[in-house]
Amino acid sequence: MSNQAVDSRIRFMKLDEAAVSRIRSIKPMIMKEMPGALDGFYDQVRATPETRAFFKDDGHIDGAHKKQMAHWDVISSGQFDEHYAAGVNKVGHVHARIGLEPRWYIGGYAIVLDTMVGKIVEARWPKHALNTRGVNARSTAEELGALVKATLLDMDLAVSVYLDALEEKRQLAEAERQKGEDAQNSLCSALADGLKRMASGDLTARLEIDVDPRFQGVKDDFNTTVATLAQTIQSISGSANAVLNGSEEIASASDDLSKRSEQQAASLEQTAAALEEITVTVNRTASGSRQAAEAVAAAKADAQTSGDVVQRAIAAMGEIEKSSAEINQIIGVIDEIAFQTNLLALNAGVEAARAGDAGRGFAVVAQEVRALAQRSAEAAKEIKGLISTSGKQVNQGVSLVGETGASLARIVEQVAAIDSLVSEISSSAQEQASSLSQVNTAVNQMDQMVQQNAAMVEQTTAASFSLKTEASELDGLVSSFRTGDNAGTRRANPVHAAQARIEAFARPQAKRPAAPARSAGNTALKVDEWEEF
Amino acid sequence: MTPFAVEAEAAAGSMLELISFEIGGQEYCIDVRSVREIRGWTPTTPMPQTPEYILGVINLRGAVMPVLDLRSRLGLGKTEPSSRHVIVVIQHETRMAGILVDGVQETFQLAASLLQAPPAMDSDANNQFVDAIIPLEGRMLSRLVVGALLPLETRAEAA
Repeated sequence: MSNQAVDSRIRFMKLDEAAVSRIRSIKPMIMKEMPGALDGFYDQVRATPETRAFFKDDGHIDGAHKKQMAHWDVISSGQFDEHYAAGVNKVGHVHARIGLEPRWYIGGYAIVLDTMVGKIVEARWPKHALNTRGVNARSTAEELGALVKATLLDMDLAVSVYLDALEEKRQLAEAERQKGEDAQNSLCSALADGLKRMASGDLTARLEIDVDPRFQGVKDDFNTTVATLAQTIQSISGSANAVLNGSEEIASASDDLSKRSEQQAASLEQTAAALEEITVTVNRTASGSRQAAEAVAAAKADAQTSGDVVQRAIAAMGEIEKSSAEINQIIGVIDEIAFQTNLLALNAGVEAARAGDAGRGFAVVAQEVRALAQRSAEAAKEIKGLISTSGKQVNQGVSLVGETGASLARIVEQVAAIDSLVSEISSSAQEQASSLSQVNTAVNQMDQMVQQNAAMVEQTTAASFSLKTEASELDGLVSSFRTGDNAGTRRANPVHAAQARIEAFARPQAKRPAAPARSAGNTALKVDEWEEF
Repeated sequence: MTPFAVEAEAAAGSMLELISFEIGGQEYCIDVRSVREIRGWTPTTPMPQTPEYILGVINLRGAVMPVLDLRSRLGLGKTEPSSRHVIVVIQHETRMAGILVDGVQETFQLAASLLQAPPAMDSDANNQFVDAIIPLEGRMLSRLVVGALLPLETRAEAA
């Protein structure tokens, strides 16, 4: 409340110098009666629960009492200056602050004024007929009027201040409300903008504006949400990329696998065919070895028969030898006879010689006889030589036949050995045949499995291609989000990591020089290609 | 006159009747008239204290007759007799003996002119067994002195 406002009120109320002097004149009386009036007021305050609630205790009431006393001192002095204005202002503001409504204030003035008017009238009421010292009804009315004016002025001022304070308070509250509304609006628009950007896939949107502390939570939550979403989308993008890469790897790997499975299947079929040929060959070997065993048995029997023949031949040779010996004996006899004949002829010759010419004829006969005897002896000698040769030949034949017999015996032994060997070969061939049929069965099973594998691999290939498509789609979808952090954070492809591990594991083997392409059959597979698995 | 000379003279100008035999592949011959008989080998009965060339005695139709190993007598070694060996019974004057030879070959006639005297070979006259050599085609026969062949004791006893 400005000083001008007080002055304008004073002018309107005609609280002029005369009125002020009237008040000053009754100031001692006012100050004298005021404590009692205030006591009455505070008694009423104490008695009324609504007013009593404004005070903590009696000390508080006493403090207020003293301040009222000081205030009334100012009022009764008629000093309605800036000091007074400040005091009234303070009182009004306090009342507004504590929420003391004007009715209690006005009520309080009523009680105090009631007491004061009563006391003043009592004091001014003529005790004697003699109106002394110029006190009359008019002066008393003027005094009372001045007092009422001052009181009402004070009351008006305090109430005005109270109302002003209330208005101020209301305006303050309005401004506050407006400010809150503005903050809310700006937050709303920022939020709308952010949400719009988010809707368009921009996850870099952040609420950068300064907001009321009340909305700080909303802003933080929005920013955190968007950041989390961006991070999640980034993660999803990385994962989608990894899935795409992985699915590409799987697709190409399963494609390779499919081709190799086909090759494997073809190789296995060839293997099975080759095995069947081998089986046929082995069966032929088995039957051939059986025939060989039969032939060997026949050879064995023949060799044994030959042994008997040899024995008979040896016996026959012996017979020949015996006959030769007999012939020899006979020849000896003949030879002896020839010898004796020769001797006789010689004797005859001798006798003929002795006889001289008379014995000439006899000598001729003797000569003839001798010649016969000599021819006989020579023939015997020749026969003897022939027989001897024959005997030698027979002996030779016997030894040859004996050797033949020994050879035949050895042949029989060897044939027996061959027989056992051939039967072993036969049984081995049969075992081989049965083993081969087992191998054949296994290879056929393998063939079937490989066929199934090939079919499965084809399914896998199809599935991996569709997975690849899906992953690509997912990657495209996710990459439509702007997260503010691009390829840099894309997660490393786990498939590549696994491959690197496998390669690191497989490299030492690949470096080994003595690893020629072990190409069994026509399945010439590169070592490198395998290492991928 | 030596007996050789007598015989040679007797045969001079006439044909000689000889019989040839063989010892160790070497051929010898004697006059066929000194041969009494030719017979096969008969085992002899050895006689004690006789020269090495005396094989023993045999019974020749009741007469005991010595048998000489001619090979040993000629100083050509000993003969292992067998059934194929032949004993030639010879007679010199009154004495008879059998000589063992490897074999008798033949009787033959020969002109005395073909005989040749053996060359001087520093041999003992008493033990001179060969009085002539007959060279024939491809062979050479030595004619033995029958009387020289007989044992000395026998000769002395007979003389």
